[in-house]
Amino acid sequence: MSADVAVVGAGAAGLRAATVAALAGLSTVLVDSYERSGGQYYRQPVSTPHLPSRTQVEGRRLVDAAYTAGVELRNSTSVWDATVSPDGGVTLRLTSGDRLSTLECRALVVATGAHERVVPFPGWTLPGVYTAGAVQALHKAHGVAVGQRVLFAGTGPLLLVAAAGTRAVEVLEASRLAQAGARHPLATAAGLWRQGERLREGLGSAWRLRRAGTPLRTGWGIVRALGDDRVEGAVVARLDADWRPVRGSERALVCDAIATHYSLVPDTDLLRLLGAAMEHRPELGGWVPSRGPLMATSVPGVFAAGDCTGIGGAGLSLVEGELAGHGAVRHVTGREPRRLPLTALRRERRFQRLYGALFTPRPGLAVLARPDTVVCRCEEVTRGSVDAAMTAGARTVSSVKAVTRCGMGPCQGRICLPAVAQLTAAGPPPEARAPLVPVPFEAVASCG
Amino acid sequence: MTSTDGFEIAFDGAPIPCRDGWTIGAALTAAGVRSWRTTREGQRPRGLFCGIGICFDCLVTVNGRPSLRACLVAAAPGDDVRTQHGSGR
Ligand SMILES: Cc1cc2nc3c(=O)[nH]c(=O)nc-3n(C[C@H](O)[C@H](O)[C@H](O)COP(=O)(O)OP(=O)(O)OC[C@H]3O[C@@H](n4cnc5c(N)ncnc54)[C@H](O)[C@@H]3O)c2cc1C
Ligand code: FES
Repeated sequence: MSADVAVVGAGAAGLRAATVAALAGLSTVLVDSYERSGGQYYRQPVSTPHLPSRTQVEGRRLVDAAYTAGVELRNSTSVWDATVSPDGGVTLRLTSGDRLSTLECRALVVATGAHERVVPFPGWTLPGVYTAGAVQALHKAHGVAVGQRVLFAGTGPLLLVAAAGTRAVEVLEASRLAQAGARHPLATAAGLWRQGERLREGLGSAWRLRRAGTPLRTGWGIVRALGDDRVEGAVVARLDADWRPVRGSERALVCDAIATHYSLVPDTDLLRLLGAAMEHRPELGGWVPSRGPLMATSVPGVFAAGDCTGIGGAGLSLVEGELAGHGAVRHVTGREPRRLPLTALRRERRFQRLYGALFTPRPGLAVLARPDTVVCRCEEVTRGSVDAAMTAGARTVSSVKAVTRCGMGPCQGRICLPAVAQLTAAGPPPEARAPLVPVPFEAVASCG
Repeated sequence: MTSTDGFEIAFDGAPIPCRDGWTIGAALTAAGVRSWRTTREGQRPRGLFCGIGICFDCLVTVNGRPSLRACLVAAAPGDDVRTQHGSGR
Protein backbone atom coordinates (compact mmCIF):
# COMPACT_ATOMS: atom_id res chain seq x y z
CA MET A 1 0.00 0.00 0.00
CA SER A 2 1.18 3.55 -0.55
CA ALA A 3 0.19 7.12 0.28
CA ASP A 4 1.53 10.62 -0.26
CA VAL A 5 1.67 11.26 3.47
CA ALA A 6 1.71 8.81 6.37
CA VAL A 7 1.16 10.01 9.93
CA VAL A 8 1.99 7.83 12.94
CA GLY A 9 -0.02 8.63 16.07
CA ALA A 10 -3.66 9.79 16.13
CA GLY A 11 -3.33 12.16 19.08
CA ALA A 12 -3.68 15.94 18.94
CA ALA A 13 -0.56 16.39 16.77
CA GLY A 14 -1.17 13.52 14.34
CA LEU A 15 -4.86 14.25 13.79
CA ARG A 16 -4.13 17.88 12.98
CA ALA A 17 -1.16 17.04 10.70
CA ALA A 18 -3.15 14.43 8.76
CA THR A 19 -6.10 16.81 8.34
CA VAL A 20 -3.86 19.53 6.89
CA ALA A 21 -2.29 17.08 4.43
CA ALA A 22 -5.64 15.63 3.31
CA LEU A 23 -7.18 19.10 2.89
CA ALA A 24 -4.28 19.89 0.52
CA GLY A 25 -5.52 17.02 -1.64
CA LEU A 26 -2.86 14.48 -0.71
CA SER A 27 -3.66 10.84 -0.02
CA THR A 28 -3.08 10.55 3.72
CA VAL A 29 -3.01 7.53 6.03
CA LEU A 30 -3.10 7.94 9.82
CA VAL A 31 -1.90 4.92 11.82
CA ASP A 32 -2.48 4.39 15.55
CA SER A 33 -1.94 1.42 17.87
CA TYR A 34 -5.16 2.01 19.75
CA GLU A 35 -8.62 1.00 18.71
CA ARG A 36 -9.86 4.54 19.26
CA SER A 37 -8.38 7.78 17.94
CA GLY A 38 -7.51 10.83 20.02
CA GLY A 39 -4.23 9.89 21.70
CA GLN A 40 -3.64 10.28 25.41
CA TYR A 41 -5.72 13.40 25.89
CA TYR A 42 -8.52 13.24 23.32
CA ARG A 43 -9.06 9.46 23.29
CA GLN A 44 -12.68 8.71 22.46
CA PRO A 45 -14.66 6.65 24.97
CA VAL A 46 -15.84 3.11 24.23
CA SER A 47 -19.52 3.93 24.58
CA THR A 48 -20.84 7.43 24.05
CA PRO A 49 -21.57 8.91 27.48
CA HIS A 50 -24.79 10.80 28.06
CA LEU A 51 -22.83 13.89 29.00
CA PRO A 52 -19.53 13.92 27.11
CA SER A 53 -16.81 16.04 28.72
CA ARG A 54 -15.48 19.14 26.97
CA THR A 55 -12.30 17.24 26.12
CA GLN A 56 -14.31 14.43 24.55
CA VAL A 57 -16.30 16.91 22.47
CA GLU A 58 -13.12 18.64 21.28
CA GLY A 59 -11.60 15.26 20.50
CA ARG A 60 -14.69 14.19 18.56
CA ARG A 61 -14.37 17.35 16.46
CA LEU A 62 -10.69 16.64 15.71
CA VAL A 63 -11.43 13.07 14.62
CA ASP A 64 -14.44 14.17 12.54
CA ALA A 65 -12.35 16.88 10.84
CA ALA A 66 -9.73 14.29 9.83
CA TYR A 67 -12.40 11.92 8.57
CA THR A 68 -14.22 14.61 6.59
CA ALA A 69 -10.96 15.82 5.06
CA GLY A 70 -10.49 12.32 3.64
CA VAL A 71 -7.83 10.92 5.97
CA GLU A 72 -7.72 7.12 5.96
CA LEU A 73 -7.70 6.16 9.64
CA ARG A 74 -6.03 2.85 10.43
CA ASN A 75 -6.51 2.07 14.10
CA SER A 76 -5.37 -0.98 16.08
CA THR A 77 -2.28 -0.84 13.88
CA SER A 78 1.30 -0.32 15.07
CA VAL A 79 4.46 0.59 13.24
CA TRP A 80 7.10 -1.97 14.18
CA ASP A 81 9.80 -1.09 11.65
CA ALA A 82 10.63 1.73 9.25
CA THR A 83 13.30 2.38 6.63
CA VAL A 84 14.19 5.35 4.48
CA SER A 85 14.07 4.30 0.82
CA PRO A 86 16.89 5.25 -1.54
CA ASP A 87 14.41 7.32 -3.62
CA GLY A 88 13.61 9.51 -0.61
CA GLY A 89 10.35 7.99 0.63
CA VAL A 90 9.83 5.99 3.79
CA THR A 91 8.61 2.40 4.12
CA LEU A 92 6.65 1.60 7.28
CA ARG A 93 6.07 -1.98 8.42
CA LEU A 94 2.76 -2.37 10.20
CA THR A 95 1.25 -5.00 12.46
CA SER A 96 -2.41 -5.31 13.27
CA GLY A 97 -3.18 -8.33 15.41
CA ASP A 98 -1.56 -11.17 13.49
CA ARG A 99 -1.70 -9.35 10.15
CA LEU A 100 1.34 -7.62 8.69
CA SER A 101 1.54 -5.07 5.90
CA THR A 102 3.78 -2.34 4.53
CA LEU A 103 3.00 1.28 3.78
CA GLU A 104 5.14 3.39 1.46
CA CYS A 105 4.90 7.15 1.76
CA ARG A 106 6.60 10.21 0.27
CA ALA A 107 6.46 12.19 3.52
CA LEU A 108 6.10 10.96 7.08
CA VAL A 109 4.88 12.80 10.17
CA VAL A 110 5.89 11.15 13.45
CA ALA A 111 3.46 12.08 16.26
CA THR A 112 3.97 9.18 18.66
CA GLY A 113 3.42 11.20 21.85
CA ALA A 114 4.95 10.45 25.23
CA HIS A 115 4.71 7.95 28.05
CA GLU A 116 4.98 8.34 31.78
CA ARG A 117 8.35 8.48 33.50
CA VAL A 118 8.52 6.28 36.57
CA VAL A 119 11.39 6.37 39.01
CA PRO A 120 12.19 3.04 40.71
CA PHE A 121 11.89 2.99 44.53
CA PRO A 122 11.87 0.00 46.88
CA GLY A 123 8.52 -1.72 46.56
CA TRP A 124 7.52 -0.13 43.24
CA THR A 125 6.94 -3.57 41.69
CA LEU A 126 4.32 -4.53 44.31
CA PRO A 127 0.81 -5.05 42.94
CA GLY A 128 -1.11 -1.90 43.87
CA VAL A 129 1.57 0.50 42.64
CA TYR A 130 0.35 2.14 39.43
CA THR A 131 1.33 4.97 37.19
CA ALA A 132 -0.87 8.03 37.66
CA GLY A 133 -2.02 7.58 34.06
CA ALA A 134 -3.23 4.05 34.81
CA VAL A 135 -5.28 5.29 37.76
CA GLN A 136 -6.73 8.06 35.62
CA ALA A 137 -7.53 5.70 32.74
CA LEU A 138 -9.26 3.15 35.00
CA HIS A 139 -11.31 5.91 36.55
CA LYS A 140 -12.12 7.84 33.37
CA ALA A 141 -12.76 4.95 30.99
CA HIS A 142 -14.23 2.37 33.37
CA GLY A 143 -15.29 4.16 36.55
CA VAL A 144 -13.06 1.76 38.51
CA ALA A 145 -11.15 2.90 41.62
CA VAL A 146 -7.83 1.23 42.41
CA GLY A 147 -8.25 1.61 46.16
CA GLN A 148 -9.92 3.33 49.09
CA ARG A 149 -6.77 5.18 50.22
CA VAL A 150 -4.57 6.05 47.28
CA LEU A 151 -1.25 7.85 47.73
CA PHE A 152 -0.20 10.06 44.81
CA ALA A 153 3.52 10.91 44.60
CA GLY A 154 5.72 12.29 41.84
CA THR A 155 5.65 15.41 39.71
CA GLY A 156 3.50 16.97 37.01
CA PRO A 157 -0.04 18.25 36.49
CA LEU A 158 -1.39 14.79 35.67
CA LEU A 159 -0.76 13.79 39.28
CA LEU A 160 -3.20 16.43 40.49
CA VAL A 161 -5.75 15.78 37.79
CA ALA A 162 -5.73 12.02 38.42
CA ALA A 163 -5.87 12.53 42.21
CA ALA A 164 -8.88 14.83 41.97
CA GLY A 165 -10.92 12.00 40.49
CA THR A 166 -10.06 9.34 43.08
CA ARG A 167 -10.00 8.58 46.79
CA ALA A 168 -6.62 10.18 47.46
CA VAL A 169 -5.15 9.98 50.95
CA GLU A 170 -2.33 12.46 50.19
CA VAL A 171 -0.83 14.09 47.13
CA LEU A 172 2.94 14.63 47.21
CA GLU A 173 4.34 16.89 44.49
CA ALA A 174 8.15 16.86 44.44
CA SER A 175 8.38 20.32 42.92
CA ARG A 176 8.02 23.31 45.24
CA LEU A 177 5.57 24.99 42.93
CA ALA A 178 5.25 28.15 44.96
CA GLN A 179 9.00 28.73 45.07
CA ALA A 180 9.38 28.22 41.33
CA GLY A 181 6.62 30.77 40.87
CA ALA A 182 8.29 33.25 43.18
CA ARG A 183 11.66 32.79 41.54
CA HIS A 184 10.27 33.21 38.05
CA PRO A 185 7.24 35.41 38.66
CA LEU A 186 7.45 36.80 35.14
CA ALA A 187 7.76 33.38 33.56
CA THR A 188 4.76 32.24 35.53
CA ALA A 189 2.70 35.23 34.55
CA ALA A 190 3.76 35.09 30.91
CA GLY A 191 3.33 31.35 30.70
CA LEU A 192 -0.13 31.45 32.12
CA TRP A 193 -1.20 34.43 30.09
CA ARG A 194 -4.21 33.40 27.98
CA GLN A 195 -4.07 30.03 29.66
CA GLY A 196 -7.49 30.51 31.18
CA GLU A 197 -8.61 27.01 30.36
CA ARG A 198 -5.56 25.30 31.78
CA LEU A 199 -5.72 27.44 34.87
CA ARG A 200 -9.36 26.56 35.35
CA GLU A 201 -8.57 22.84 35.00
CA GLY A 202 -5.73 23.09 37.52
CA LEU A 203 -7.73 25.18 39.98
CA GLY A 204 -10.66 22.83 39.61
CA SER A 205 -8.49 19.86 40.60
CA ALA A 206 -6.94 21.70 43.55
CA TRP A 207 -10.36 22.82 44.70
CA ARG A 208 -11.84 19.33 44.53
CA LEU A 209 -8.88 17.94 46.52
CA ARG A 210 -9.28 20.59 49.17
CA ARG A 211 -13.00 19.99 49.42
CA ALA A 212 -12.30 16.29 49.90
CA GLY A 213 -9.85 17.23 52.66
CA THR A 214 -6.87 15.67 50.85
CA PRO A 215 -3.54 17.14 51.95
CA LEU A 216 -1.46 18.40 49.02
CA ARG A 217 2.23 18.76 49.94
CA THR A 218 4.82 20.29 47.65
CA GLY A 219 8.49 19.40 48.13
CA TRP A 220 7.54 15.92 49.40
CA GLY A 221 7.98 12.49 47.82
CA ILE A 222 7.73 8.75 48.27
CA VAL A 223 10.72 6.80 49.63
CA ARG A 224 9.39 3.23 49.55
CA ALA A 225 6.23 1.17 49.31
CA LEU A 226 5.40 -1.20 52.16
CA GLY A 227 3.77 -4.64 51.88
CA ASP A 228 4.60 -8.26 51.01
CA ASP A 229 2.35 -9.25 48.13
CA ARG A 230 0.45 -5.98 47.70
CA VAL A 231 0.68 -2.39 48.83
CA GLU A 232 -0.17 -1.82 52.51
CA GLY A 233 1.53 1.50 53.12
CA ALA A 234 4.38 3.81 52.20
CA VAL A 235 7.23 5.78 53.68
CA VAL A 236 7.29 9.38 52.51
CA ALA A 237 9.73 12.22 53.20
CA ARG A 238 10.46 15.87 52.60
CA LEU A 239 12.75 16.41 49.59
CA ASP A 240 15.74 18.75 49.36
CA ALA A 241 16.33 21.05 46.39
CA ASP A 242 17.72 18.07 44.39
CA TRP A 243 14.66 15.99 45.32
CA ARG A 244 16.70 13.77 47.65
CA PRO A 245 14.77 12.63 50.77
CA VAL A 246 15.78 14.69 53.81
CA ARG A 247 17.06 12.39 56.54
CA GLY A 248 14.86 12.50 59.65
CA SER A 249 11.76 13.73 57.81
CA GLU A 250 10.50 10.22 56.92
CA ARG A 251 7.05 9.18 58.03
CA ALA A 252 5.00 6.05 57.37
CA LEU A 253 1.39 6.11 56.24
CA VAL A 254 -1.27 3.52 55.50
CA CYS A 255 -2.57 3.25 51.95
CA ASP A 256 -3.92 0.47 49.71
CA ALA A 257 -2.64 1.81 46.40
CA ILE A 258 0.08 4.14 45.13
CA ALA A 259 -0.05 6.23 41.97
CA THR A 260 3.26 7.64 40.82
CA HIS A 261 4.85 9.36 37.85
CA TYR A 262 7.54 11.93 37.27
CA SER A 263 6.32 13.85 34.24
CA LEU A 264 6.56 12.31 30.78
CA VAL A 265 9.21 10.95 28.39
CA PRO A 266 8.97 11.67 24.64
CA ASP A 267 8.39 8.48 22.61
CA THR A 268 11.25 8.76 20.12
CA ASP A 269 11.87 5.11 19.10
CA LEU A 270 10.58 5.54 15.57
CA LEU A 271 12.57 8.74 15.05
CA ARG A 272 15.77 7.11 16.34
CA LEU A 273 15.13 4.04 14.19
CA LEU A 274 14.93 6.32 11.14
CA GLY A 275 18.25 7.90 12.12
CA ALA A 276 16.91 11.37 12.96
CA ALA A 277 19.51 13.57 14.73
CA MET A 278 18.68 13.86 18.44
CA GLU A 279 19.61 16.33 21.18
CA HIS A 280 19.48 15.95 24.96
CA ARG A 281 17.09 18.47 26.53
CA PRO A 282 16.20 17.52 30.11
CA GLU A 283 13.64 20.34 30.35
CA LEU A 284 11.77 18.81 27.39
CA GLY A 285 11.85 15.29 28.84
CA GLY A 286 15.20 13.90 27.62
CA TRP A 287 16.24 12.99 24.07
CA VAL A 288 14.29 14.88 21.42
CA PRO A 289 14.71 15.26 17.65
CA SER A 290 16.50 18.33 16.29
CA ARG A 291 14.08 20.15 14.03
CA GLY A 292 14.11 22.85 11.38
CA PRO A 293 11.27 25.02 10.09
CA LEU A 294 7.90 23.28 9.66
CA MET A 295 8.97 20.57 12.10
CA ALA A 296 11.40 18.90 9.67
CA THR A 297 13.81 16.41 11.25
CA SER A 298 17.31 15.79 9.90
CA VAL A 299 15.91 12.98 7.69
CA PRO A 300 14.50 14.43 4.43
CA GLY A 301 10.74 13.96 4.25
CA VAL A 302 10.38 13.05 7.93
CA PHE A 303 8.60 15.53 10.21
CA ALA A 304 7.90 15.29 13.94
CA ALA A 305 5.28 17.03 16.09
CA GLY A 306 3.75 16.94 19.55
CA ASP A 307 4.93 15.37 22.77
CA CYS A 308 7.38 13.00 20.98
CA THR A 309 9.49 16.10 20.29
CA GLY A 310 9.39 17.44 23.86
CA ILE A 311 6.66 17.57 26.51
CA GLY A 312 4.44 20.54 25.78
CA GLY A 313 0.79 19.61 26.26
CA ALA A 314 -2.19 19.20 24.01
CA GLY A 315 -2.29 22.87 22.93
CA LEU A 316 1.27 22.86 21.60
CA SER A 317 0.72 19.44 19.99
CA LEU A 318 -2.18 20.83 17.96
CA VAL A 319 -0.12 23.78 16.72
CA GLU A 320 2.95 21.68 15.92
CA GLY A 321 0.76 19.13 14.15
CA GLU A 322 -0.59 21.84 11.88
CA LEU A 323 2.95 23.05 11.09
CA ALA A 324 4.19 19.50 10.41
CA GLY A 325 1.20 18.91 8.11
CA HIS A 326 2.23 21.97 6.07
CA GLY A 327 5.82 20.69 6.10
CA ALA A 328 4.75 17.35 4.65
CA VAL A 329 2.60 19.07 2.00
CA ARG A 330 5.49 21.29 0.97
CA HIS A 331 7.82 18.29 0.77
CA VAL A 332 5.46 16.41 -1.55
CA THR A 333 4.06 19.25 -3.70
CA GLY A 334 6.59 22.05 -3.37
CA ARG A 335 3.71 24.38 -2.42
CA GLU A 336 4.52 26.98 0.25
CA PRO A 337 2.00 27.18 3.11
CA ARG A 338 -0.04 30.37 3.30
CA ARG A 339 -1.11 30.98 6.90
CA LEU A 340 0.85 29.56 9.82
CA PRO A 341 -0.29 29.64 13.48
CA LEU A 342 2.83 31.43 14.72
CA THR A 343 1.16 33.48 17.47
CA ALA A 344 -0.34 30.35 18.94
CA LEU A 345 3.06 28.65 18.67
CA ARG A 346 4.75 31.41 20.70
CA ARG A 347 2.02 31.26 23.34
CA GLU A 348 2.24 27.48 23.70
CA ARG A 349 6.08 27.59 23.83
CA ARG A 350 5.78 29.89 26.86
CA PHE A 351 3.63 27.30 28.59
CA GLN A 352 6.14 24.60 27.62
CA ARG A 353 9.01 26.54 29.21
CA LEU A 354 7.06 27.02 32.41
CA TYR A 355 6.20 23.32 32.49
CA GLY A 356 9.89 22.43 32.10
CA ALA A 357 10.92 24.84 34.86
CA LEU A 358 8.45 23.30 37.30
CA PHE A 359 8.35 19.60 36.52
CA THR A 360 11.79 18.45 35.29
CA PRO A 361 12.91 15.54 37.53
CA ARG A 362 16.02 16.28 39.61
CA PRO A 363 19.04 13.98 40.18
CA GLY A 364 18.32 13.28 43.87
CA LEU A 365 15.61 10.78 42.85
CA ALA A 366 18.39 8.36 41.82
CA VAL A 367 19.13 7.54 45.49
CA LEU A 368 15.70 5.92 45.98
CA ALA A 369 16.53 2.55 44.34
CA ARG A 370 18.60 0.32 46.69
CA PRO A 371 20.97 -2.41 45.44
CA ASP A 372 18.21 -5.06 45.66
CA THR A 373 15.52 -2.85 44.05
CA VAL A 374 14.38 -4.17 40.67
CA VAL A 375 15.02 -1.48 38.06
CA CYS A 376 13.92 -3.36 34.91
CA ARG A 377 10.48 -4.80 35.65
CA CYS A 378 10.45 -7.07 32.59
CA GLU A 379 13.83 -8.76 33.01
CA GLU A 380 14.00 -8.33 36.81
CA VAL A 381 17.38 -6.60 36.72
CA THR A 382 18.33 -4.93 40.02
CA ARG A 383 19.98 -1.60 40.71
CA GLY A 384 22.92 -3.62 42.06
CA SER A 385 23.47 -5.32 38.67
CA VAL A 386 23.29 -1.99 36.87
CA ASP A 387 25.81 -0.46 39.29
CA ALA A 388 28.11 -3.51 38.89
CA ALA A 389 27.97 -3.18 35.10
CA MET A 390 28.94 0.47 35.41
CA THR A 391 31.78 -0.32 37.80
CA ALA A 392 32.97 -2.88 35.24
CA GLY A 393 33.16 -0.16 32.61
CA ALA A 394 29.70 0.19 31.04
CA ARG A 395 29.35 3.93 30.46
CA THR A 396 26.26 4.37 28.30
CA VAL A 397 22.66 3.22 28.47
CA SER A 398 23.30 0.90 25.50
CA SER A 399 26.27 -0.82 27.13
CA VAL A 400 24.42 -1.27 30.45
CA LYS A 401 21.59 -2.79 28.44
CA ALA A 402 23.92 -5.20 26.61
CA VAL A 403 25.60 -6.39 29.84
CA THR A 404 22.56 -6.68 32.16
CA ARG A 405 19.60 -7.27 29.75
CA CYS A 406 17.99 -4.23 31.42
CA GLY A 407 15.56 -2.82 28.85
CA MET A 408 15.53 -5.94 26.64
CA GLY A 409 12.05 -7.14 27.69
CA PRO A 410 8.72 -6.61 25.93
CA CYS A 411 8.37 -2.96 27.04
CA GLN A 412 11.55 -2.27 25.04
CA GLY A 413 13.02 -0.28 27.89
CA ARG A 414 10.26 2.35 27.82
CA ILE A 415 9.78 1.99 31.57
CA CYS A 416 13.35 1.43 32.85
CA LEU A 417 15.76 3.10 30.43
CA PRO A 418 14.89 6.70 31.37
CA ALA A 419 15.82 5.76 34.95
CA VAL A 420 19.04 4.06 33.81
CA ALA A 421 19.91 7.18 31.83
CA GLN A 422 19.80 9.11 35.13
CA LEU A 423 22.45 6.76 36.54
CA THR A 424 24.90 6.66 33.61
CA ALA A 425 26.97 9.60 32.50
CA ALA A 426 25.65 11.41 29.44
CA GLY A 427 26.16 9.27 26.36
CA PRO A 428 24.48 8.94 23.00
CA PRO A 429 20.75 8.12 23.06
CA PRO A 430 20.08 4.37 23.31
CA GLU A 431 19.88 2.70 19.93
CA ALA A 432 16.38 1.87 18.67
CA ARG A 433 15.88 -1.51 17.03
CA ALA A 434 13.01 -3.16 15.22
CA PRO A 435 10.60 -4.54 16.21
CA LEU A 436 9.44 -1.45 18.10
CA VAL A 437 6.45 -3.45 19.35
CA PRO A 438 6.30 -7.23 19.81
CA VAL A 439 5.32 -8.93 16.52
CA PRO A 440 4.50 -12.59 15.85
CA PHE A 441 7.85 -14.35 15.44
CA GLU A 442 6.96 -16.11 12.17
CA ALA A 443 5.98 -12.73 10.77
CA VAL A 444 9.35 -11.14 11.42
CA ALA A 445 11.12 -14.14 9.94
CA SER A 446 9.05 -14.01 6.76
CA CYS A 447 9.71 -10.27 6.33
CA GLY A 448 13.46 -10.79 6.55
CA MET B 1 -26.32 -2.16 25.15
CA THR B 2 -25.73 0.46 27.77
CA SER B 3 -22.81 0.52 30.16
CA THR B 4 -24.95 -0.74 33.04
CA ASP B 5 -25.44 -4.16 31.43
CA GLY B 6 -23.50 -6.76 33.36
CA PHE B 7 -22.09 -10.19 32.69
CA GLU B 8 -19.58 -12.54 34.26
CA ILE B 9 -16.11 -13.73 33.48
CA ALA B 10 -14.12 -16.35 35.39
CA PHE B 11 -10.80 -15.76 37.11
CA ASP B 12 -9.05 -19.01 38.04
CA GLY B 13 -12.52 -20.51 38.12
CA ALA B 14 -14.18 -17.88 40.35
CA PRO B 15 -16.91 -15.65 38.92
CA ILE B 16 -16.01 -11.96 38.43
CA PRO B 17 -18.72 -9.40 37.66
CA CYS B 18 -18.05 -7.32 34.58
CA ARG B 19 -19.60 -4.44 32.65
CA ASP B 20 -19.93 -3.80 28.97
CA GLY B 21 -16.87 -1.95 27.69
CA TRP B 22 -14.56 -3.03 30.51
CA THR B 23 -11.15 -4.50 29.92
CA ILE B 24 -10.15 -7.71 31.73
CA GLY B 25 -7.82 -5.54 33.86
CA ALA B 26 -10.66 -3.19 34.87
CA ALA B 27 -12.91 -6.13 35.84
CA LEU B 28 -10.22 -7.79 37.97
CA THR B 29 -9.32 -4.47 39.62
CA ALA B 30 -12.95 -3.67 40.38
CA ALA B 31 -13.27 -7.11 42.00
CA GLY B 32 -10.29 -6.36 44.25
CA VAL B 33 -7.85 -8.68 42.43
CA ARG B 34 -4.43 -7.00 42.28
CA SER B 35 -2.18 -9.60 40.65
CA TRP B 36 -2.63 -12.33 38.00
CA ARG B 37 0.88 -13.14 36.92
CA THR B 38 4.14 -14.29 38.52
CA THR B 39 7.50 -13.30 37.12
CA ARG B 40 9.85 -15.79 35.40
CA GLU B 41 12.85 -15.33 37.72
CA GLY B 42 11.60 -14.25 41.14
CA GLN B 43 8.05 -15.67 40.91
CA ARG B 44 6.84 -12.30 42.16
CA PRO B 45 3.18 -11.27 41.75
CA ARG B 46 2.34 -8.61 39.19
CA GLY B 47 -0.78 -6.95 37.84
CA LEU B 48 -1.66 -3.63 36.25
CA PHE B 49 1.00 -0.95 36.23
CA CYS B 50 0.90 1.51 33.29
CA GLY B 51 -2.71 0.76 32.35
CA ILE B 52 -2.19 1.72 28.69
CA GLY B 53 -0.37 -1.18 27.08
CA ILE B 54 3.23 -0.02 27.43
CA CYS B 55 4.76 -1.93 30.36
CA PHE B 56 3.59 -5.53 29.63
CA ASP B 57 3.34 -6.19 33.39
CA CYS B 58 -0.35 -7.15 33.22
CA LEU B 59 0.10 -10.28 31.07
CA VAL B 60 -2.60 -12.88 31.58
CA THR B 61 -3.92 -16.05 29.93
CA VAL B 62 -7.41 -15.66 28.43
CA ASN B 63 -9.28 -18.61 26.93
CA GLY B 64 -5.99 -20.49 26.66
CA ARG B 65 -4.09 -17.67 24.92
CA PRO B 66 -1.11 -16.64 27.08
CA SER B 67 0.57 -13.24 27.43
CA LEU B 68 -2.34 -10.97 26.59
CA ARG B 69 -2.31 -7.48 28.10
CA ALA B 70 -5.18 -7.34 30.59
CA CYS B 71 -5.27 -3.53 30.37
CA LEU B 72 -6.11 -3.65 26.64
CA VAL B 73 -8.15 -6.82 26.08
CA ALA B 74 -11.91 -6.19 26.23
CA ALA B 75 -13.75 -8.64 28.48
CA ALA B 76 -16.39 -10.83 26.86
CA PRO B 77 -19.10 -12.87 28.61
CA GLY B 78 -17.76 -16.20 29.81
CA ASP B 79 -14.06 -15.39 29.32
CA ASP B 80 -11.87 -17.92 31.11
CA VAL B 81 -9.08 -15.83 32.68
CA ARG B 82 -6.15 -17.64 34.31
CA THR B 83 -3.16 -16.58 36.38
CA GLN B 84 -0.06 -16.81 34.24
CA HIS B 85 3.16 -18.28 35.62
CA GLY B 86 6.39 -17.23 33.90
CA SER B 87 5.92 -16.94 30.13
CA GLY B 88 2.70 -18.96 30.36
CA ARG B 89 3.81 -21.54 27.80
C1 LIG C 1 -1.04 8.70 30.40
C2 LIG C 1 -1.12 10.15 29.97
C3 LIG C 1 -2.18 10.94 30.43
C4 LIG C 1 -2.30 12.28 30.06
N1 LIG C 1 -3.34 13.02 30.56
C5 LIG C 1 -3.43 14.33 30.24
C6 LIG C 1 -4.49 15.14 30.78
O1 LIG C 1 -5.34 14.65 31.53
N2 LIG C 1 -4.53 16.46 30.43
C7 LIG C 1 -3.60 17.01 29.56
O2 LIG C 1 -3.67 18.20 29.23
N3 LIG C 1 -2.61 16.28 29.04
C8 LIG C 1 -2.49 14.95 29.38
N4 LIG C 1 -1.44 14.22 28.88
C9 LIG C 1 -0.49 14.86 27.99
C10 LIG C 1 -1.15 14.96 26.62
O3 LIG C 1 -1.53 13.67 26.23
C11 LIG C 1 -0.25 15.46 25.58
O4 LIG C 1 0.30 16.69 25.87
C12 LIG C 1 -0.89 15.56 24.16
O5 LIG C 1 -2.09 14.87 24.07
C13 LIG C 1 0.10 14.96 23.22
O6 LIG C 1 -0.46 14.77 21.96
P1 LIG C 1 0.35 13.99 20.88
O7 LIG C 1 -0.46 14.03 19.65
O8 LIG C 1 1.74 14.48 20.79
O9 LIG C 1 0.49 12.48 21.42
P2 LIG C 1 -0.54 11.45 22.05
O10 LIG C 1 -1.83 12.05 22.36
O11 LIG C 1 0.20 10.77 23.12
O12 LIG C 1 -0.78 10.40 20.86
C14 LIG C 1 0.25 9.58 20.36
C15 LIG C 1 -0.37 8.39 19.68
O13 LIG C 1 0.66 7.71 18.95
C16 LIG C 1 0.38 6.36 18.95
N5 LIG C 1 1.62 5.60 18.69
C17 LIG C 1 2.81 5.69 19.35
N6 LIG C 1 3.72 4.85 18.82
C18 LIG C 1 3.09 4.21 17.81
C19 LIG C 1 3.50 3.21 16.88
N7 LIG C 1 4.74 2.69 16.87
N8 LIG C 1 2.60 2.76 15.97
C20 LIG C 1 1.33 3.27 15.94
N9 LIG C 1 0.89 4.22 16.79
C21 LIG C 1 1.76 4.68 17.71
C22 LIG C 1 -0.18 6.10 20.32
O14 LIG C 1 -1.02 4.96 20.27
C23 LIG C 1 -0.95 7.38 20.64
O15 LIG C 1 -2.34 7.23 20.42
C24 LIG C 1 -1.31 12.85 29.22
C25 LIG C 1 -0.26 12.06 28.75
C26 LIG C 1 -0.15 10.73 29.11
C27 LIG C 1 1.01 9.90 28.61
S1 FES D 1 -0.64 -2.38 32.58
FE1 FES D 1 1.08 -1.85 31.37
S2 FES D 1 0.74 -3.05 29.59
FE2 FES D 1 -1.06 -3.42 30.74
